[in-house]
Amino acid sequence: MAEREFADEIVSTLKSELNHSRGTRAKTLLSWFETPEGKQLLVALEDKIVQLLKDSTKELSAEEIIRVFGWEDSQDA
Amino acid sequence: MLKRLTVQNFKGFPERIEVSFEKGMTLILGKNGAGKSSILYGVKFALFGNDKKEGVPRPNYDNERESIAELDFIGKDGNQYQITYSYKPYGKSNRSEFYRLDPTTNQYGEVSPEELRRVFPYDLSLFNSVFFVEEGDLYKFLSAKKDIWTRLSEHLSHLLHLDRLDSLYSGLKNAKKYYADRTKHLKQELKSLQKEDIDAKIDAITEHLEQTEHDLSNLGEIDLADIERLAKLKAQLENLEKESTKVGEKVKLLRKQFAGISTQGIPQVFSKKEEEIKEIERELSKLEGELHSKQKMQHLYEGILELLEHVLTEHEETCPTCRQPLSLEQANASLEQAKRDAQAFQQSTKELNQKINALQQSLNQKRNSLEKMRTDYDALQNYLAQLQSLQTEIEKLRSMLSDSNIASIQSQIDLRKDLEIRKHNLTLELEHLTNQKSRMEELPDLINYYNVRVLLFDQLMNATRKVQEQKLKQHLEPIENHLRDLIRRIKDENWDVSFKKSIEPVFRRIGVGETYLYLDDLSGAEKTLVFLLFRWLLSKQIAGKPLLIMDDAINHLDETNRKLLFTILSEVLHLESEENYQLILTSYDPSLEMLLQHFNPKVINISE
Repeated sequence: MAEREFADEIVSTLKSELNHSRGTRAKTLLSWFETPEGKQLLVALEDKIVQLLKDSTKELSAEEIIRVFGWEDSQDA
Repeated sequence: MLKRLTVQNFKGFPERIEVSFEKGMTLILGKNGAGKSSILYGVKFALFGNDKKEGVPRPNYDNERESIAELDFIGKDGNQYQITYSYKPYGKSNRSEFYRLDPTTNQYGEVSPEELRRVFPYDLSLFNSVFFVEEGDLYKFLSAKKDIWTRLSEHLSHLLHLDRLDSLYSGLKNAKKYYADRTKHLKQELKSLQKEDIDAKIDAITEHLEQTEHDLSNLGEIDLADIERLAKLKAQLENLEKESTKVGEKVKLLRKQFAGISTQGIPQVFSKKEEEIKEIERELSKLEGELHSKQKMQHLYEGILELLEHVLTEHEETCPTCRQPLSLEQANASLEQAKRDAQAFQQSTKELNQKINALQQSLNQKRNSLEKMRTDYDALQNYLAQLQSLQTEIEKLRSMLSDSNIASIQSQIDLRKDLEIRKHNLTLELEHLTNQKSRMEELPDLINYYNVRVLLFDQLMNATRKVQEQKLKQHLEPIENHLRDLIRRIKDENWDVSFKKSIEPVFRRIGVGETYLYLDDLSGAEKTLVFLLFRWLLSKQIAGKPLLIMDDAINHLDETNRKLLFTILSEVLHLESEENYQLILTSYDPSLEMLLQHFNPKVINISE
């Protein structure tokens, strides 16, 4: 249950930080969250972080993160 | 608050035993091995079952029977609940049940196990880490050579499982780096493509290609009959050249047979060899005549021998040839002489025969050799004639091919071939450049796409760190404030002077809020004091009314330091009212009862 609580707080913090930031980086990310892919990820983000936290007893590799985010088939792979 | 624990067939207890926990302090006394720790494990067993992750050791006293633990507690809603767990290793049966006590009927009614998390007064995910203090925890805490507040912060992070966010943070960082590297690589690729001025190259190649196509179309069509004729002539020439090479090889080979002899000189060699053969034939004829004479003489001697043998056989005393008187002794002597002469003739004939045979053999060899030479010579003459004829043909064909019309057709064909190769290469190059151009066009989108991932992971890292820091701060700050408040009170309030004297140096040395003090700077008792004070404050921070279950955690403190610890706890947490807390501690030391009498502890003596 701690994973769900952590994930919820991380996603809430992320959203809050983005909404309060005036930087171009935050704006770029916010715009991306408006795209179909971004919207889909935002909905599933909390579950993905829960999944990562369940695996987090060991050091997480980039490959594991990419797998959980479903980005194994990179466009230019 | 925890109210009662009942265990059966659990750890060191074969039969059912019941332990009541009170508000305030419960002191469980007993010798080593009496089962003090088993009672505390019973609390974990009731709540978490046979879960090794929660630190529940093998429960069964007797594996044939069920181990049972029942824990009664007062829930957040003020109702009394009971959680039970039973486990039997043989057959692997396990069962968890949850009940609520109906105050009107005083009967337990079953409740959904999912309710437990909602009504249990302590955070279940932190129960083992925050509310349980085992002897080993202190040693783990003290083993790090760091300053106190860093260590406390790390320890808190571990107790609240915040360190799991570190793993998440590192993973996100790895993913961010991965995409940052990809982005960098793609940017470099774009930059290098931009440098190449692909559009200009495409224009140049397209122009070149058009010119080549134009040149090709200007060449016009070549008459097929001409091409066929040309191909036929070329094929003929090629065949003749091959044939000529083959014949040339044969001539070369045959010339080796006549090494050192010119073609003109070969007939002379033949005459010489014929002369040698004739000489041998003459010699042979002479020897054969000689042999014939010898054979005649031999025949004569054989006749004489026959006659002499007759004389001797018939005892005649006249010579059978001359009819002169002949004694037997004379006849005998003549016979012996005739025999010797005949033998000499035989030998001579034999030798002559051998000589004739040797000559015959030599003659045959010479004749064969001459015959072979003549055959080879004939073949050589033949091949030379063929070669001559082939070369004449080849010259003729070459001359035909060098004819201006045919040469023009050939040059047209060659030119067309060159242009077609050029067109093919230009088409390939154009295709490559077009691919590069489309890659150059898609790269900015791709870079943005990866850049978004870099940004996402970066923001997630920030959010993770922020949550971690906030949670840590949220729990650590009140603890610090408590300690600061205590120090202020020690300084300002009218406390017992002797207590002030003993406590002030300790807190000065702990250096609340400072970072320069290292654990190694404190004495063993001071370290324990810091650790337990911290754990007690954390429990209060998490649960409001603190619960601490301490298994043999203060055994190594002497009486003075135990007093010091409980005085501080009392001051910090207002332990004077048992409504404010629940402390369950175990010890082997009966003197603790006397020491803690101020707190009015409920004492459970396991040995009894």
